[in-house]
Amino acid sequence: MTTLMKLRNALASFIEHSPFRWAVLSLAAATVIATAAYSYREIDSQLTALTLSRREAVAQLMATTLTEKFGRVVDIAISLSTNPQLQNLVEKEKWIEVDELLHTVPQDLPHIDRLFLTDTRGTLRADVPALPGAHGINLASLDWYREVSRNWQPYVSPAHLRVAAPQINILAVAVPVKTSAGQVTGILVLHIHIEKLFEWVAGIRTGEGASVYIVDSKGQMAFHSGQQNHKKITDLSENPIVQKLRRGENGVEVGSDVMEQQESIVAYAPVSGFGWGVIVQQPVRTSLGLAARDTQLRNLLAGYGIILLLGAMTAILTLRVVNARQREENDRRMKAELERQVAERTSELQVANRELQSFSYSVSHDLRAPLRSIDGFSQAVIEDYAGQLDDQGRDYLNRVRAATQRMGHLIDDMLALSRVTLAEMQRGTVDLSALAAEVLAELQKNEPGRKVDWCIEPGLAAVGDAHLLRVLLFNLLGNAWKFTGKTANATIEFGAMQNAPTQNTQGTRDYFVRDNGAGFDMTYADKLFGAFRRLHTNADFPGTGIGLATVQRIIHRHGGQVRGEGAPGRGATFYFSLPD
Amino acid sequence: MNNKTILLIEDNPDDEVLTLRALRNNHILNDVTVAHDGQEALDYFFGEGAAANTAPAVVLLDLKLPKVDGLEVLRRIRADQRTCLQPVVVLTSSREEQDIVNSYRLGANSYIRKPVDFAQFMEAVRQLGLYWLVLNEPAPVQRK
Repeated sequence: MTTLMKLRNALASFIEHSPFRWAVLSLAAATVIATAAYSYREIDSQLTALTLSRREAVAQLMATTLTEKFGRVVDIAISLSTNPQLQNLVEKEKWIEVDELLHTVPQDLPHIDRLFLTDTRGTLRADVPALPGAHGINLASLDWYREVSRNWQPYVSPAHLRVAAPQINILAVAVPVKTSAGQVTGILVLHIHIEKLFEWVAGIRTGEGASVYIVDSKGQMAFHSGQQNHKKITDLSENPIVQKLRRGENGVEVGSDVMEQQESIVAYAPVSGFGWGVIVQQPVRTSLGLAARDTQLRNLLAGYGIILLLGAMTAILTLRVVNARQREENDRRMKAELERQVAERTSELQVANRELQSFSYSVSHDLRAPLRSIDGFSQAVIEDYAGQLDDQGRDYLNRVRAATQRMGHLIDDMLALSRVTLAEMQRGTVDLSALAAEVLAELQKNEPGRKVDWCIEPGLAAVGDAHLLRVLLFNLLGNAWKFTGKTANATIEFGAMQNAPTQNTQGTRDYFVRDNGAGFDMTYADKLFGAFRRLHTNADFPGTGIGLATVQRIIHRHGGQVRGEGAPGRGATFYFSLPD
Repeated sequence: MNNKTILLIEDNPDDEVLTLRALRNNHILNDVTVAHDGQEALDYFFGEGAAANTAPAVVLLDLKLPKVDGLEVLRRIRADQRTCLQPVVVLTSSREEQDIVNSYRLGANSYIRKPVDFAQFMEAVRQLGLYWLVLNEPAPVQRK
């Protein structure tokens, strides 16, 4: 098990790290395919050769048998022609006696259809069985006469249809009749009934669907094992296999059937000495050998297919493991990178924060000192040189002082705003209702003369930084307080409303601070929360324009949203959300 | 008012003038010694001839000072046995939390922010003088 896993890991890491992994996999697949192809070809050719050689053997066996049959027929003819009595009678041209003699030829040779004798010029002199009026007819125009008379050797003719009824396929065996001195005196001709001569062929089992053709010396099909009593002599001399046979070649090939034109195994062998030939053919589809070969090849292909499939599956699984590993590695790297970036940003932020802190520290010290000088010395001039100043001079100096004091407030507010940004958040549950009551009480205490009705929804709690939320409410309620300063029956309301849940969010809660004071023009709503932006003049409502900027920063630090609604003279409502 | 000394440690000449003016206008006529940086202040207590210097009734200490800053001066005053009980009031521009906390942590007796408004500044100095020069009983002198 461990060895297997080691092997698998080694393979995986090889595949993972080798830049040639696809090449290696392709090479492995190609090797398997090449082996498969080689085996396929080997088995194919071996089994095919085996099957074909069997066919060829059958053809040759039949050709040999046929040679023997022809030989025996010729032997019979020769033994008849060399009968001394016959020789003697023919020599003396005693044709009637010859005729009688021929009739004594044993009739137990069933394939001998007819036998007759001519003189050397081809004139028929005797025949068995006798055809009326045949005697005296010259047959010199027939091929067997021409062939035999050429050199007076025995001759076996091609197949032809018997002229007289019934029409059957016959062949002629012609042998010369000679005197004892060797002089040719006549020709003995046997007509052989082809069908009967080749009867034995039908008895040979050559295989399912197989057939045997016997082709004569002219390239005609003399016999077809599948067609008994076949009368037609088909000329096959144009057929390439028949041409090979006529050249005396033997062999076997897979090709087109000589007659039926279907894919067949065709084996052929010449009948030596007679110019005939045997063709044994069997359709490929019925060849048991080829069927067995095909089954074997199919099994072989299936086997290699399974090997390839298993290999591919292994490769795929391995690749998946490798890919998963790489993904993991990438994820890990990405996470590390993200962590590094976060750490970097955090440290950058910390640096920026420290810089901001030291900036506000020096602002706090250094910006205020000159203001104090301006204000102090303006006052000193007013006090010490009162006699030399007219009212306008005093007024100017008072304006200088007012401006410096205002500048002092701006600096203070700016620092307060930056403190809101820089302060560390300490989250906890904060009772906003109680906080609002506290703030309003404080406002009331600072201006005991104001009469304001306020209404606070009880029990509103939120999660946030208590100090910042106090600053938030102080600014919002302080604004409400300030901007209702000129309103009769001033009312300030603090409450919350639930928003309907949407597809993506649960129902959120919006808190609001509402007043019926001076309000504002919604046209300028986008300017509400900008630092030092004011919608009212300092004379109407004093302020530095930092309050709502502070509110927005506090809400943003809590991840919430803030917006204002209002109309001039009809009050304002500020909504804010504080996500948990 | 008595004749106790005030040690004003202030580098900004404007603030020095204004502080002195505020003291004068509030009829605080005590001797005022001014140290213009942290080193001068330390010299007043620990330098050559320091023995001749009287222990001030109160030290008004600015925090942002050249050479040795205010918090360091405070730390050294508190660290020395001779001066560790010396009343020190931090009088500075800032109201930064860190300044306030550090000052008290180092043993400041009080922390007063200089307001921009001179009128408020006058009032602060008035109350300061009244408290530290009149109402407050300093610790007995520890010097040998």
